[in-house]
Amino acid sequence: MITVQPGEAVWEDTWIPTACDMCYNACTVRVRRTNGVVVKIEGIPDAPPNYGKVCAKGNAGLMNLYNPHRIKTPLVRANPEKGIGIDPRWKPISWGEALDLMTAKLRAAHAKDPRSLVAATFDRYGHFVLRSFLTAFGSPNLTTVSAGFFCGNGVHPVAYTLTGSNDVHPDLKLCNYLLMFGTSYGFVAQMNAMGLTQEMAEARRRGMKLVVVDPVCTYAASQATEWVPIRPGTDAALALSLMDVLVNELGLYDREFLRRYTNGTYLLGSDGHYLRDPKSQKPLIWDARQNRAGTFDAIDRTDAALEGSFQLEGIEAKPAFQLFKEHLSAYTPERASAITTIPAETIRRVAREFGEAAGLGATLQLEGHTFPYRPAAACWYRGISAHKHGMMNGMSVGQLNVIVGNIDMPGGMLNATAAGPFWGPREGADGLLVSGNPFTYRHMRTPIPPRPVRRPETLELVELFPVSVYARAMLWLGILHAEQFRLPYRAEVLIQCRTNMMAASGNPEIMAAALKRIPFMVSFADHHDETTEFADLLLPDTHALERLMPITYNPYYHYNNATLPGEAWSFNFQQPVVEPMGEARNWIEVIHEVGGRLGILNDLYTAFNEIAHLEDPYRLDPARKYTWEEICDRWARSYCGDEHGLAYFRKNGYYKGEKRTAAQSYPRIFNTGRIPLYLEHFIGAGEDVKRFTESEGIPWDTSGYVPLVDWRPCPAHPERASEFDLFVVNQKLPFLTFSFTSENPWLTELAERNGKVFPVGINAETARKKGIADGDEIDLETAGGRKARAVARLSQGIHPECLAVPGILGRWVTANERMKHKGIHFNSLLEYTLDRLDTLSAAVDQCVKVKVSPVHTEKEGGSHA
Amino acid sequence: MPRWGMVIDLARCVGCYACTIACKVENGTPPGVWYAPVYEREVGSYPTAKRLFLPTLCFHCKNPPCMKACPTKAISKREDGIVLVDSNKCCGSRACVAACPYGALTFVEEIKGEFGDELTPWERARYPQDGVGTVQKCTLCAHRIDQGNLEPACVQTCPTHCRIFGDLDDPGSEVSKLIREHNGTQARPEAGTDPSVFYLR
Repeated sequence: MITVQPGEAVWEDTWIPTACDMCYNACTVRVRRTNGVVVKIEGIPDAPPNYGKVCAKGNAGLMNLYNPHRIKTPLVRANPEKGIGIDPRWKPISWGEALDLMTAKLRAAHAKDPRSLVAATFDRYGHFVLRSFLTAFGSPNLTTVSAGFFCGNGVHPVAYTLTGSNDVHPDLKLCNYLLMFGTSYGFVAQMNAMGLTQEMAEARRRGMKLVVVDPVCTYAASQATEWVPIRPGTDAALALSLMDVLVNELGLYDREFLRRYTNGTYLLGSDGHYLRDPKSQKPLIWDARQNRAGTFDAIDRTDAALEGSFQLEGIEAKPAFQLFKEHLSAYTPERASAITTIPAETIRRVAREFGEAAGLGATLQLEGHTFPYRPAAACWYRGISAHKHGMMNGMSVGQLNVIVGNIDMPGGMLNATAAGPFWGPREGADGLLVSGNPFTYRHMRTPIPPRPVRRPETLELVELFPVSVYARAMLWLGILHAEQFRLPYRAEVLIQCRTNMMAASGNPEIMAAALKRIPFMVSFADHHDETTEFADLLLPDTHALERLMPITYNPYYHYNNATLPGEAWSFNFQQPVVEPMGEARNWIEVIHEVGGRLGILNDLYTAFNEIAHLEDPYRLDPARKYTWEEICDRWARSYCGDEHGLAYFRKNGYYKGEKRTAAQSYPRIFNTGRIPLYLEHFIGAGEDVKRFTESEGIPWDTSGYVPLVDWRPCPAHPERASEFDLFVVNQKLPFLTFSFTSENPWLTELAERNGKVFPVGINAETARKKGIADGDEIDLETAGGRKARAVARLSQGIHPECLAVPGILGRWVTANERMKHKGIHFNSLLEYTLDRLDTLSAAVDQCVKVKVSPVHTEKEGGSHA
Repeated sequence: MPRWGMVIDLARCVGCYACTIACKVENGTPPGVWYAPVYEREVGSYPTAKRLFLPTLCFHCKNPPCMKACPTKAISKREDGIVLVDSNKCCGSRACVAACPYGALTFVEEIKGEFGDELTPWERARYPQDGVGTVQKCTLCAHRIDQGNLEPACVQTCPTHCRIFGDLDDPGSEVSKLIREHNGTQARPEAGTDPSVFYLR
């Protein structure tokens, strides 16, 4: 490879290991620098989590670095008026002036109420420091937007419920039948995208059947054994029906698993609550051998009755699974077919295939242990989570796994807690499984046991969500409706970095209204985007190839290769490969400097020791002052051992820890805590929320707090009969994920050449009925009056009731002119209001319907959106 | 002497385009020039429709029609089968572009910057500034292969092991085995070009 022009002397040619930043997965890469110029990025074959493989975005990353339109100096707003499309009239200022201004605004906010500071970032690695800064400042308001609007809301609480960990993965190494609901898992998407893409390719090649349930024939569905098109927002009806067939028609369910590892044996009274021992208050189960009731911990699990009806001192008592089973009978394939549009015979066939593939009764020997072997799994993600009833949707698919006994078993759905020192869920109150990850209380809350409902103190109102893991999507509504929720303070200052929430979160008009409520906004950014347009102070941040940043999640978080059986946990670093452009500074170092100016650095260090979980002798001494390099060095040594400090990472880039054992990968048979298949704890949680919101006069939907999962329509579903007859579905692209990837001209040209990125997909038959031809301009309009104009692309790979809008496009402020106004912006069609949020998981409902009409030309009379 | 070639296992490709971009960066191709595109098309009818992905590159034919067509002998075939264009000898006649049945060659009319007239540092270092008015094509990353241990960039980055590189003349190589065991086929065999790239379905 010629890395310099002919005739030019090569005075430097070197490879530097670092971590990619073109999505949150931080793949380990090496970067070739010749004569001071980054000329190539590629993977390192031995380096986890991606083992040498880099996606299109990662390969293209250096063009983001070299965008000449990057922000190079601090800028201050000269135009007091803020809004979408309103020029801030930026005025360059010095770093000194900028930090004086920022410090003064923070001091004033602190004097009013320390909680009035809000911070928002999607910098997964910087947020440990940011959280420490906020803790030292005295504010609970840190949010990792834009995650938490659409993605994990219906995943994480369910994962905790099933496994005590933050996420669940199918065991691609051993699974033989995988059902995917609304996800591109294993197709350059999601957590550990590149590691899992390799695993998925191998699984498919060895013959694993892959069935993808999705309104759109996605990249994943295209390479699946079978694509099952479904009406959006009806996945729970399908999952419940699959369970009905398995349990009530085929009898294919894992009775042994349900007895041993779930609360299916707990006896229920007529009020739906557990029947409890009057003395100990422990839930009772029925001993089928001795024909008597006893507390859950006193009776051999294999003797417990799972089904039937028993008399207990004159009261009729049923095991929870009996009620579960009866409840399923409402979801016959015929009824589910009417809801989902999937033929009843397809539902019956898939249920049988799934149940038979689970191989009930089979076992597998691994590392000296005998495990039940259940090589069938059902996974899900954003597609079914981002709905009015996202929690129920996720729970229904989660329970489909429980029914066949595959949770934390070889071949099934596995906990995704990384191996290492922080592994291990426990048994909690009522014998239920609770999380063993000490980090979760910092990043995510755990849903079991439900948290007490109390008066909101956070702007995201997480106090009203006792069984969610977060309520990030509520933040902006909390800011907008602070009076309604009787919040004791108002947001005064927003610090924002590496998150384009105007494009990636709620509807931009509503987001704009929330942002305008905050008197002072500081953005750190390397390029102008839809969000920085609202900043008062705009500070130039470094590109990932210009900064030092430990990839902190790897050993302790949940989605590196250590989550896969037999894989090692790992830790890697972003390190500077080139000097920052212009006056750009690593924003995390600036946050430290501001902490020093505010005199809270000692408290920041104290908080950081806890938040980053540093151990002696690497904990920071609050009486000292450290450079960022020193902090990184201690961080690395604390996690990876004394010999693996910053110098080690500068040279090697990554550290590989121990491999995950079979017992860590498949812990179900070692855990005593039970999975609540029957969500008894939801009843009390719902009553708590109802009591509080009613007493405060807050209108709040608590109808979802039921112990047995149901399918419920989204607000958009009843619009079926009207002229708003097509659902708009957002479809993932493997080469354009996250708004900043569309800043890249190579990815832009890829999208232009692909031809299927900027148009809106419409089922060919639906289009024919509406008189729309391929390439026609069409107008989209929602019942809420939100509009977009697009080019139609006729396709056979889209459900007849749907329009497919790819990616996060329709950019209106970008440092890449070629991408401006290309495609349409999906979120602009959404409502972002309280009635469209899941009050259980805080998911934003992305179920929206539009009417579609061909654009009339001027000659024909003209109509413009 | 090996005969370098590639197997493309179509059942593995997921249309991620990592290969396409890795190639672009490795080879410093200007806007509009892509050596390793992936073509995507929809087949079938609802509800059994699919997207099909077709990763491509120069097929480094045993009988390269481009080489025969070139009036200035700018195209040559190495002993290891790699077909290369020497831009110093290329007169820009574009006879090769017309002769290739696979559309693997691109005539470079002009080189513009990705962000406008001003080139980025990467572009200043990497664009073939004498390449305007000549034809460019995939080199099978001959510069990487010649180092002895590197696969072509598209192969190196492919996460699904869809692009597999190796010696077609070695019956024990992974590519030879795959071609034998999965009935690998060449594109447009009737053209008599005998490509060094085989597709598996």
